[in-house]
Amino acid sequence: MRRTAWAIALMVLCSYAAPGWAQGFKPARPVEAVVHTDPGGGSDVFARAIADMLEKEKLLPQRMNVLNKPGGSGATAMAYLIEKKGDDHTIGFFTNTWLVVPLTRKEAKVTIHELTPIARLVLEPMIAVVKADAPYKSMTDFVEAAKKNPGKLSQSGGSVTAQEALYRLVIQKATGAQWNFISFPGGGERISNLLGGNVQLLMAQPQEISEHIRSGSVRVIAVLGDKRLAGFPNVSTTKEQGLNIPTLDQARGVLAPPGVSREVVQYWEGVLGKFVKTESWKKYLADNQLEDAFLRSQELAAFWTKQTELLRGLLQEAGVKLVR
Amino acid sequence: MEALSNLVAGFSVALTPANLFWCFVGVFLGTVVGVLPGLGPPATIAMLLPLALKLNPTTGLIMLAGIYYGAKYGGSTTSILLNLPGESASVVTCLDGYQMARKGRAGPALGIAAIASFVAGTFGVVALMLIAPPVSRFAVRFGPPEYFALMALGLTMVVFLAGKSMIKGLLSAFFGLWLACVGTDLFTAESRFTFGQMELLDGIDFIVASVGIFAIAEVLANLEEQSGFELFKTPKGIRNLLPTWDDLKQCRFAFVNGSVVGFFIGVLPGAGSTIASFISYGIEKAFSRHPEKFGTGIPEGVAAPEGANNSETGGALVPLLTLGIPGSNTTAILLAALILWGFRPGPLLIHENPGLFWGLVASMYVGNILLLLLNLPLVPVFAQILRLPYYTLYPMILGVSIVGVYSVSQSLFDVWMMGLFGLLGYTMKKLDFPAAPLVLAMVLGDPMERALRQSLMMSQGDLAVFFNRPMAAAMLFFALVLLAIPLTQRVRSWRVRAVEQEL
Amino acid sequence: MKSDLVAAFVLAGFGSFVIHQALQLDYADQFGPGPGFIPFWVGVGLVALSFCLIYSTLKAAWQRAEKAPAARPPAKVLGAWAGLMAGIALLKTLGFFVSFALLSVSLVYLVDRRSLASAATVGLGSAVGFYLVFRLGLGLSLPAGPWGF
Repeated sequence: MRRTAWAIALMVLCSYAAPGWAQGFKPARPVEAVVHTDPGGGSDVFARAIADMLEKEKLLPQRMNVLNKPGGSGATAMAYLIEKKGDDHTIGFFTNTWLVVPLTRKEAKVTIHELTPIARLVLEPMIAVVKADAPYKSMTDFVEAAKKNPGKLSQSGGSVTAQEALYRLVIQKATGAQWNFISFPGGGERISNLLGGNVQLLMAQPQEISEHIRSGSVRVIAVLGDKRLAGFPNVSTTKEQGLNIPTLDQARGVLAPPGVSREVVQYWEGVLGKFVKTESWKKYLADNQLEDAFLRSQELAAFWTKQTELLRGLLQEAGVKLVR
Repeated sequence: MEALSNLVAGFSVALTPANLFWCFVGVFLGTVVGVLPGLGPPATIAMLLPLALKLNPTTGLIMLAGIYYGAKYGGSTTSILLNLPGESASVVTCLDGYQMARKGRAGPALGIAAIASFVAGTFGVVALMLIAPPVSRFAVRFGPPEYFALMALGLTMVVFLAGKSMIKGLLSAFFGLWLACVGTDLFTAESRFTFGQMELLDGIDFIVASVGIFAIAEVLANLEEQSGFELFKTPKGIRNLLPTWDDLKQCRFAFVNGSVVGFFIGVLPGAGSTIASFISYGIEKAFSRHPEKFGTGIPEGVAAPEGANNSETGGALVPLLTLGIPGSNTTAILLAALILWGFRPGPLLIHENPGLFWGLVASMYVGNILLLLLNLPLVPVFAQILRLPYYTLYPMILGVSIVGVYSVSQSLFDVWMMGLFGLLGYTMKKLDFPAAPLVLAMVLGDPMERALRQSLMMSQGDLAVFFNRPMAAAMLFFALVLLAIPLTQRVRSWRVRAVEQEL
Repeated sequence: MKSDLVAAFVLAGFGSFVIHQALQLDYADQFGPGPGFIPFWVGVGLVALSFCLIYSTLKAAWQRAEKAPAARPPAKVLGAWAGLMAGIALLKTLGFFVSFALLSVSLVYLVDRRSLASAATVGLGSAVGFYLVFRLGLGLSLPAGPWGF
């Protein structure tokens, strides 16, 4: 509370001191980290955890404050970052939805390519789970069952543009099986409908469901993609099970408003490059079963372009109307 | 008796000076932020997360939970005094609470709210303690068809909120349903009625609309009255500062109703305290011996919804602590906090960390007592606010509304919307369109549509899904019964009138 | 009574707009209602209920022929509302505290016709109070003017 007052005082002082830094960049006041979810949402929790670790590891000379700009699945946060053009004390935390929303919504006025890439931090793999008493032991079992009873089985998930919806689509296309996809806005409802037997399949990030796996109420039938996970060494991947589908891991990372200088980008690349080598970060990745996927600014820009094209193709097949 | 010995152990945790202190900090902060619309528990908990993470986990959780249920106490204060809902769940409290204040009974209304909160809050904790595991199995069985039935049941409350003209009440409800449609369709990711505005993609926030329709509209309406009139009868004498014994006796049923309804709706992920308070208000009115007095300022109309939204807290912690499933933003951030402390919230949490669970439960008993002790003495103080001349009061109401609405998502667009809803609310008031059905339909419209479509996707378009499942069928039947009650009353009154005319 | 008729016609028009918009969305999905289903019936409900309101209003007027005063919002209310909206418009450039002070002063002085002195006291007093409570006390971020608050 009092800190805010100090921050204001500092801010005023620094605005006079600004021309002092000739070369290199260092934040001179608290950094604002924009996320597109409400407090408690995925991106918000991720950003707060990172802010906490950066402070503990003393990698940032200033505090990092999380600013929630919810609305339009990322569109509002992106528009806010555009407004902050050239502001070197603002960063944003992006996810895949920042790539998808501009493709599907004409209300979104900004694409991610207009923002300044800084670094990709993680990829979140997904796993497919069923209730413990269900007969399916692998994703192929489920696919076979769905083939025998087309449209009788259901999967719970988020919106039609979410990864789990796209995974269903690519698996259906590869195998000719048919099952329903039922959207629920909250992650909790997706899990409780699986536990209650209203749906038979859920694809989720491991940390969302790992405790239910540990307690034995659900069973993992596949890791989606081509790499096994350290947390589930005995669970085979969809590739090993003979399903040839692309990997659509959720990417999370950091970007900046447009028009910030090269020094700022380099500064953040440096800080985050050191950060991903710390013990607390490694422990965080292990606890949450995330994949370390650090990429620097330039590689991140290329990743965005590639991923956007992949998603564009998939969304088109899913029958989602594209506007860009 | 295992619960009892666990509880004793829990109290030994909760009553250590440090835990007691942080529990007080939590409930105090909760009360403060509860008063302000928009700034609710999720944002406050997020702000205090770095601090809480430095505390011992049990202590930290006790504080964060204190913010959560403390905010439910605070939310009623501005609803009663200023017709300004401090929290979305307190909208229902405006209906009778503010009318009581205008009759000079602000003190009793605040007192009833505090007592109802205490009774139901404690009930919620007892239920959490005793029946959490079986209840969580019930929550999990609650699929889309049951949600649809519950929302349909909620929507029948429109007939109890309609006021003088049923047609106007229904028009108002349909307008609310339309407002609920605005935004992105979850199932197809298509825009509906967004008018090309990015800010409307996520729909219209409920608190933005209700602050406009209740608080701003009330200010405009009061400005219209001749200056110098006495808006609030000033409470005289100490006896009018707190509820009387008769008030409390009148609320007996409301306390029970609010406690039970609030807890069970709280257990369901995604239903929420606003729906709980509307349903318990509707049930109170449906079974009342004098339903016509609701909305004119009677204590039951405050006790039922206030009780429901406090008991809901205990309910909402059931899926969080027994299954690791968050049902709302607030429980989601509590879940995040548990993970950051290194706990593994899920089916094994209570079993593996009994100290955390029982310490929290015991601290919630303590916290509820602290809240009652904190809030009751403040009642006369708060009631004095109404003695201020109106021209000093209403700029403050406008200011608090702006700050609160802006804090919902730091968006000026929302503040504009609030202004528009203010004019809408004023016009509705002038033309005798009731506001309550509009806000009710706005809360229920979205979950109801969603549950309808989810159910039919599950059953591949077979409507039998609503009748084959016993819980869904039972709730739909109950909804029909509730609809029938006012109809029979109306028929009876027609008969009486017909007989009178013949005479 | 006249105002009810106007409201009914406005709502009927609005309902037709809703129907029109809903028809551009899919009415049905593969198995059940599509995104246009609920909006369509909401529109139909609005139109139907508006006609009910017109009918009942005319019937009541026919039976009783009462003359209700035309409900026209008094200038004071419209003035206050316009003031509020102007205050909101200033938030972005002047920041919350300054525009809130301006809003309070002008409402109390112009709309409530109090003396300039009491208007200034109320306006400045509440702005300073808000600053202490919300900015310093709760540390909220509110729209700021060029001077940082």
